Amino acid sequence: MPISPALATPDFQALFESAPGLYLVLGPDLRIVAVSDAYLRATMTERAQIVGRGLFEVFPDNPADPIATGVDNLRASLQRVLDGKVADAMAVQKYDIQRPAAEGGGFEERYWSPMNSPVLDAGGALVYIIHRVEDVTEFVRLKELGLEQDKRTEELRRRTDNMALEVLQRAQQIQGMNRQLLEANAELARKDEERARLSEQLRELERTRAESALRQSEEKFRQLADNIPEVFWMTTCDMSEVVYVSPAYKDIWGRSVESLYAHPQEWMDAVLPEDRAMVTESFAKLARGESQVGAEYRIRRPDGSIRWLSDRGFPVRDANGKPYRSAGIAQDITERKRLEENLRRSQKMEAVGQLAGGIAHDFNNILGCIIGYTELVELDVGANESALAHLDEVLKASQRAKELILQILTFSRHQEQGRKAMHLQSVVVEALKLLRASLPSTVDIRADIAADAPSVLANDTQLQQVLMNLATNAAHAMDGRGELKVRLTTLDVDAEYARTQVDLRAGRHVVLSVSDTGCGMDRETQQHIFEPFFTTKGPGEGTGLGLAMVHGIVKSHEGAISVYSEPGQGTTFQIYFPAVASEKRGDERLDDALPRGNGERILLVDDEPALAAVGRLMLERAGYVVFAHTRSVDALEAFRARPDEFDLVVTDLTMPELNGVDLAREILQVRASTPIILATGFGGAMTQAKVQALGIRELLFKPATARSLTESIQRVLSGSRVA
Amino acid sequence: MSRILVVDDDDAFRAMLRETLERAGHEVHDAPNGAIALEIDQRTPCDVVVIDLVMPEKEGLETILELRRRRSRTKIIAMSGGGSGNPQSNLAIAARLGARRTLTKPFSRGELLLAVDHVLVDATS
Repeated sequence: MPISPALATPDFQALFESAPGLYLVLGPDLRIVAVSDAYLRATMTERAQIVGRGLFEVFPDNPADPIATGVDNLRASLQRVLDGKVADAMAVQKYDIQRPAAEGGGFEERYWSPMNSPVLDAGGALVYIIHRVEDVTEFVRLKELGLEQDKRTEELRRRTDNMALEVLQRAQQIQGMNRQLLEANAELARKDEERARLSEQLRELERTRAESALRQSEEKFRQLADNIPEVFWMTTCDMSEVVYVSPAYKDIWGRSVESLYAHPQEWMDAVLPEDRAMVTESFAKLARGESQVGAEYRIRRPDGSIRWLSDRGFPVRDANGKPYRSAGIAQDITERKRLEENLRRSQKMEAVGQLAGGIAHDFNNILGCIIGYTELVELDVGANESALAHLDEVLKASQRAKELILQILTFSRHQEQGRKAMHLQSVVVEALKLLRASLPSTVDIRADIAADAPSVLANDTQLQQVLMNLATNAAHAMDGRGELKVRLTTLDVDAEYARTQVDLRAGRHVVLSVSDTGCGMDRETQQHIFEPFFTTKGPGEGTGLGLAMVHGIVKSHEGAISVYSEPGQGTTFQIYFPAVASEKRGDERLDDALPRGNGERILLVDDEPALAAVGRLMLERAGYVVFAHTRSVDALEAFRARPDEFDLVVTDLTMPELNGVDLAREILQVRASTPIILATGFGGAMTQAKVQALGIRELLFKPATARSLTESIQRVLSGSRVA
Repeated sequence: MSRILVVDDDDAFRAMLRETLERAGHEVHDAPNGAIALEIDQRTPCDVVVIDLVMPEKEGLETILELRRRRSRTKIIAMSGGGSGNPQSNLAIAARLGARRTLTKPFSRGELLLAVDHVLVDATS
C-alpha cells in the first residue's frame, strides 16, 4: 500500500523555530506557546524557560525604570488584537530585557518595534497571537547620543520609513506564517481523519485479500471459459463494459473478442432488431436484482447468416454478497432450433396427410356422384348440343378435382408407386432435356452429375416430377433470368450429420441438389414451403401443392429434403436418397432367388385375416395354389372333405377353438403322411424336437418372410418326396 | 340381364351406381354395408357384387373373404377411393382375395359398365 501524501507533511515546528524573524506565539491567555530561535537570542532567554509561561511573567517591566510603559502598551495592543481579531502594529517601545542570572540578572535597555497578529481557526475564533518584534535599540541609542544628528536623524527617519515598509513586508510574511500555522492547525484535524482513513485502509486491505482469492478463482474460471464451446461473458453491473468474454465469441458472433472489448455495444448491435427489446428487458432484470435471467434470441453475423442463441445471465457477488459484476453463458442453439422447426413441420405434414387421406375418401365419393349423375344426365338430354357441352365442362372440372386429390394423396404418401433400383443420372438428364425445352432461354442451366453415383430405389416418374417442380419454382424465383444448377453427388452421411436433418439416416446417399440465383426466401417462408396449399405465387398461378408433393415423394423414397436460402441470395434444395447397398440387391433379383413351387396345393391356416392374406400372396407369387382359412375348424372340415387335394398344411399355433397342434393331430389322423409346418412366435415352449415328436415336419418362426416360408415349404416337400 | 349387388355406405354414390346399372339393363340390389350384403347374397346369390372397400360395420375386404369362404360364385368388383390406408394397396389385396376387377373412385360410367361386362364374360368363359 502506498504511503498517503498527507503523511509526508513538513515539520512546521522546526520550520517556525528556525525562522530569521523574532517571533513569539501566544495563546489567547497570553501564555507563550512557541518561540523562534532568533527571539530567544535577542531576549537572552531559553525556550524551556519561557514556553508555557505568561508573557508578562517572563518579560516584566524594568523595576529600575519608574516610567516604563512597555508592559502596559503591549498589553493594550494584545487586547486590541484579542478584541478586534486584526493585526496591531505598535510604535517603538522601550522594553528592557533582563539578563540571565548567569550574567548578573540586571536589565538591559532595549527598544522594540512590535507587531501583534491574530491566528484564527476555520470558525473565525482566535486561537493564537503571533507577536513579532524588531530590535531597534541601536537606532534609538544613536538618536539619543545625537551623533551625526542630522544625518543619523535623517537616516533614522529613513530607516523608520523603511521600517514601516519592512513592517508591512514582515506583516505579509507573518500572514504567510499564519497561513502555515492555519494549515498546521487544519493538519491536526486532518490527522484524526487520517487515523480514520488508516483503519478504513486496513479494512480495504482485508477486502483486497478477499478479492485476490476471487481473482484466483476468476483465473480458474477463465481457463475453463477459454476452452468451452459456449460463450462465457462477464461485464460490469450496468453491462456497459465487458470484463471478459471467452474465445468462442469469435466462432459464434463471427467478430473478434478484442473488438467487443473496445465496443461493448457490438453485442446488442448483432441482435436482430425484432429481438432487441426482449433481450434488453430480460437482462435489465439482472440489474434489478434477479438472480437468474435468460433469453433466446437471434444474431446476425458479419457474413449475414443468422444464429440462434440461448443466453443465461446471473450476478457475480463479492465477499459481502454485493453484486459487482454480471456474467452469463451464451450457447449456440441454431441447430436445435432448426431441428425443432423441421420436426414441427414434419408433424404438421403428417397431420395434414392424415387429414387428406380421410378427406380423399369422402371427396372421391362426392366426385364419383358428380361424375356418375352427370353422365346419367347426358343420357337424358339426348341430342341437346348445348346441354351436352355444359355437362362436358362439369366432367372436365371433375377430372381436375380428381387429379388434385391424387396430388394430395401423393404428398401424404397415401399413393404409393412402385420403385426399383436405378441410377438417377439418366433420370436427371432426361428431366434436364424437358426443362431446357420448357424454361426460358434466359435461364442458364448448369448440370454437374457424378457419373459414379450409386443406384437408389426410385420411381422415375415421381423423380421427374420432383425435378420439374423444383426447377419450375427456381425459374419463378429468378423471374425467368439467372442460373439454375442441378447437381448429383454421392455423400456418406455419418451419424453426426444424420442428426442435423429430420428423416436423414446414416449411410451412403445420392444427393440431388437444385440451386437458383433467385430472390431467395426469408426464414418465415422457409418454415412453410412444404406445407400443402402454401404458395408465394399469385392466385391462379399455383395450387401450393408442388413442394408438398415433392416432400411426400422424397419421404416415400425414404429420403430427406433440406432447404438453404437467404433473401436475395438464392435458394438450394438438397434431396438425400439412400443408396442401394449393393448393385446386385435389386428387389426383383431377391424375388427371383426365392424357391418356387409348381402348383402344389397348400392349406394355409391363420386366425389373423391379414396374415392369412399376406401368406396367401407370398405363396401364390411363389407358384403355389393356396387355400387359406382363418378358422381352424373350417380348415379341418375342408381337409376332411378332400384329404388328397392338399399337398401340404401350414398352420399357426395359437388359434381359438382348435389350436395348431390339435389341428395337426386331427389332420394326421385323417392322413398320416400329410406334411405339416407349424408357425409360432419366438420364445414359445415349442422346439423343433417337440413338434417332430408330434409328427409335424417343421417349426417355422413368425413373423415369416417370403424366404423363410418358401424355403421351409421347399424342404418339407422335397423331404416328403424322398420319403 | 344380370343380378348385381351394389355395396357402399355412401347413400348418394350407391344410388348413382344403382341407377347407372339399371339403365344398362341390370337387376340391381343394394346394401349399405358388408353384413347386409352377405345376407342378400345368401338369400339369392348374385352374379356380380360391386363393393366399396372402406365401410363401417364390415369392411369390404372382410366381406370379400367371407364370400370366398362360402365358396360363393358371385363375381367381385372392388372399389376404393382412399381412407386410412392406401387405395392402391387395398385394391391389390382385394384382387388377391379374388376380386376380378378393381375400380379407383371416382370412375366414369364407361369404366363401371366395362368392368361389369368383363366379369360377366369372364364367368361364362
